[in-house]
Amino acid sequence: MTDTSYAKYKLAPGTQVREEGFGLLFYTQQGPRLYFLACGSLLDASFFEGRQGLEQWLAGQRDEPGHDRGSVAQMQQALHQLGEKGVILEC
Amino acid sequence: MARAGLSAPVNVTWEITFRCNLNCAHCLSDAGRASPEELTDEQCRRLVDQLSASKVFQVNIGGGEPFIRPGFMDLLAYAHQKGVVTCVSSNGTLIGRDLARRLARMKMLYLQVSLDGATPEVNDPIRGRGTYQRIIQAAENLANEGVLFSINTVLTKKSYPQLEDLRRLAGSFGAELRVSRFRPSGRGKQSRDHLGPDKEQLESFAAWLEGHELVRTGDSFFCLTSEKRRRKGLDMCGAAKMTCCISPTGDVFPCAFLQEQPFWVGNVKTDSLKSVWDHSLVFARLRNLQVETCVECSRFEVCRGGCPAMAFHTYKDINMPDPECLVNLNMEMAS
Repeated sequence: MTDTSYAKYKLAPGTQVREEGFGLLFYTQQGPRLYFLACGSLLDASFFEGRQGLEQWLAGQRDEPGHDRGSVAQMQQALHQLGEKGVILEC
Repeated sequence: MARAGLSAPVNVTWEITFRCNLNCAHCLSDAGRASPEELTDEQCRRLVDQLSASKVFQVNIGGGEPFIRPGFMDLLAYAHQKGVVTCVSSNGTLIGRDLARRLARMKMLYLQVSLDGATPEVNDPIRGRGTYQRIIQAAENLANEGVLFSINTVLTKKSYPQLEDLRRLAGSFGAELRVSRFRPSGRGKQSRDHLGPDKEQLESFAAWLEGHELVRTGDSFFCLTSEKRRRKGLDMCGAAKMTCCISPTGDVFPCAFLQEQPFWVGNVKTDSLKSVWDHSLVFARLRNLQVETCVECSRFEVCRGGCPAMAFHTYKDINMPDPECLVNLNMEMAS
């Protein structure tokens, strides 16, 4: 997997996202289908406005519960998978 | 996650009117005439505002016949403008070329057209004389205009033998087949013996479904769904967990098939949907429901006790197994 920690993301057309206790819930009109991102409060819906990459975003979240090296790597992978499924797009 | 509860439904079933120009034998809403208590246009818009504010992704609109309600197209447009995707279930009989053309311009709309047989001989006794031809004409109109739609068939004793023909027929319009479950609510209570699929049909249908991955079922058939389809997320009842139902008069229930007094949780004329969703004891009970006799079953992870509405309408108790559960069916057939 390539390093995507600097990649910025936006929602694919027809995708919506909302915040839940476990993290983020995505809905794609195509299907329709649901996707879950168990990121707790580390990411919120505004991350997908594409202003910051994961690395930069998380730099401001160091005090959030669950913020450690392992979870960041997991999130990076999860974002990559959501990208492969067409839920989010790199921008 | 489901037990803690989502912040809002993922989708909401909204029966927008009781009024209907047909009198289908299995209608879950016992539709016909509009009620004077139905939500006004303004109340409908305020409800859309609530759905949008709670980030409900999709509203599944049925009835009655939605397109018979004056101002319905404006309401659809309003929902889309507020970011709510709509899926409309229609009997198709009012979808002429002009309406199909207007629907084609709505990019946040998905449409389901009901057809209960691949021939007039099977469809018309259920949906009404002459409806087969009118529905086929609607499908042609929609296909010609490029509207994304599916053909929705309720699995009955009569439609089961025609499922393969129905699948081909839907495909000829570029549509998918969606098979819904017969439920003994509304007029289905009276027609259950006559139309409800028998045990052999249900078992054969389970096998047929496994071989037809593209056939949609919504959340209807998890009581007999295969491991393969489970991976599509069709493995438990979503009532009160992912979805709920709003009646034409604004009453809120866990699902369209549990519109019975014990399951009434509020009314959107006076209660906010968010408050009902967060605080209803009925919803809490459904979120925590574990059908005791099913917990040890080998299929529990696949169906989680099946459809509470089927249990309620059969036994008057949602803590009973789905009466059409595949395991129970097999045991009965073997004995």
